Amino acid sequence: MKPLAIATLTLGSLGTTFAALLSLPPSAPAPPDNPTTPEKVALGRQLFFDPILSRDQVISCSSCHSPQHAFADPTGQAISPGTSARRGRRNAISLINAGDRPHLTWPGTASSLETQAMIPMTDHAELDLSVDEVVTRLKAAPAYVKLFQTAFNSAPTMQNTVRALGSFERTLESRNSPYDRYQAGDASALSAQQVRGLDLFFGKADCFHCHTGRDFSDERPHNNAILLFNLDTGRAEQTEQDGDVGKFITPSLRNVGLTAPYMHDGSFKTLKQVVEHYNDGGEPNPNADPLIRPLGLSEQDIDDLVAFLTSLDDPTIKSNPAFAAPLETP
Amino acid sequence: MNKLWLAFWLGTFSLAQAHDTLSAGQVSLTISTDDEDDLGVNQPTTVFFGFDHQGKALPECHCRALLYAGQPSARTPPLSDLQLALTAGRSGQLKLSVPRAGQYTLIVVGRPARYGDFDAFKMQYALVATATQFDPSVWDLGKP
Repeated sequence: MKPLAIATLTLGSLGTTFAALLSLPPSAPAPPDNPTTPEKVALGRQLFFDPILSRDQVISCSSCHSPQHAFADPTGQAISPGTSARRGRRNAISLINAGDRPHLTWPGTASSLETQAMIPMTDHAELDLSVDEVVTRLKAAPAYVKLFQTAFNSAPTMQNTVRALGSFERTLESRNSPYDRYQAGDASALSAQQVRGLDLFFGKADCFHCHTGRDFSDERPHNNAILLFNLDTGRAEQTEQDGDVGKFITPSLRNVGLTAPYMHDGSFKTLKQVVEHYNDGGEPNPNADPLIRPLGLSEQDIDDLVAFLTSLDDPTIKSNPAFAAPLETP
Repeated sequence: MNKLWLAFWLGTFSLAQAHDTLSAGQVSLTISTDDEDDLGVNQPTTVFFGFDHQGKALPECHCRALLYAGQPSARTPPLSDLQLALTAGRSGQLKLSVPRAGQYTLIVVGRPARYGDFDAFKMQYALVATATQFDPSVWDLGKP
């Protein structure tokens, strides 16, 4: 029997994860204090889909970050409901390729997946648990005690909880869209309309100035002029600079066809509305990015751009067994 | 007493900037008011706008005028957000009213109704409101 098969049989519920890991692209680089291991990934996956981490034990991370929607909101609502149906302020952002991004959350307040994982867990409008409550619950669940022992050789702690979640999220990688295949030389991967949209994206529509790089983000904060003024001050929450009010990190466009609604506040239901907003030139917000101006795109141009954007979708995310909820619950 | 001096100096400054002409790209704009380029407190002041597009009338424009108290900020809404209708692409006017004396900023933004007629523009103009009648924000009678 081959070693991999032995490991799969031995570790039982971890088997699906092991098998799926083999088909994954290389994981995002892990921080030195949290190297990725299959055990941590398996534990993180369990935690991600388990409502044990919410006060009312009804919602989990996956309630707002569903694999069926590229780990963005599955409800189609601008703001996902949290514990006791409370509402936060921002749209649930896709977690695909999040491990490669230097600034996480809309305003970019977390620099690692481990740090980010703390935010929703303790946010009153999201999972709403204190650090002590998380640890107490996990220590009271024998299956989790065992999984933490396997992954970290320790009892459950908050630090290891976020390390496990970060390890799982770091595996959520996807760069296998029709656009990627087109870039790799498969001219048939994009339709003629999508190719026209691609030309607009990197040309007249100027999208590429902010949506650049392999994940289509410059990783910088911008005010994209969707509002005249910003009650949600965004980046300025951290910097306290007036010039940063209403600025949010450019989101990745990967799988953007699966992650509606759009913008930090989920105010646009369709990609067409998003493109129309930019074509119109936005609101005269004092901090509006100077690149936002009327673009002069025709209706056909807008449709072509939207068609191109959907070529960034990787449909295999939905069917990847490593991204799905574990079959067994601890 | 200090506020009296402030009102004096602000008023002097506003008289000195009468009928300023601003420009952005191909568009220039002259702004004046019916009150020596001041704004009246709690009374409407007419603000006149004169546009020029490379020596000609401004093509059909979606023009807006936004009035902010002090400096414009993305944290707060403008006091007024008005569509600016132009006559023959040359002139327009709006009535503005402010609640108290002080500095205000008028932002005029425009974009062409037909793409390419002119470049979208944004211009900023400082205005001062001085009290013309009893205004407790200036006449601070409660202090020696």
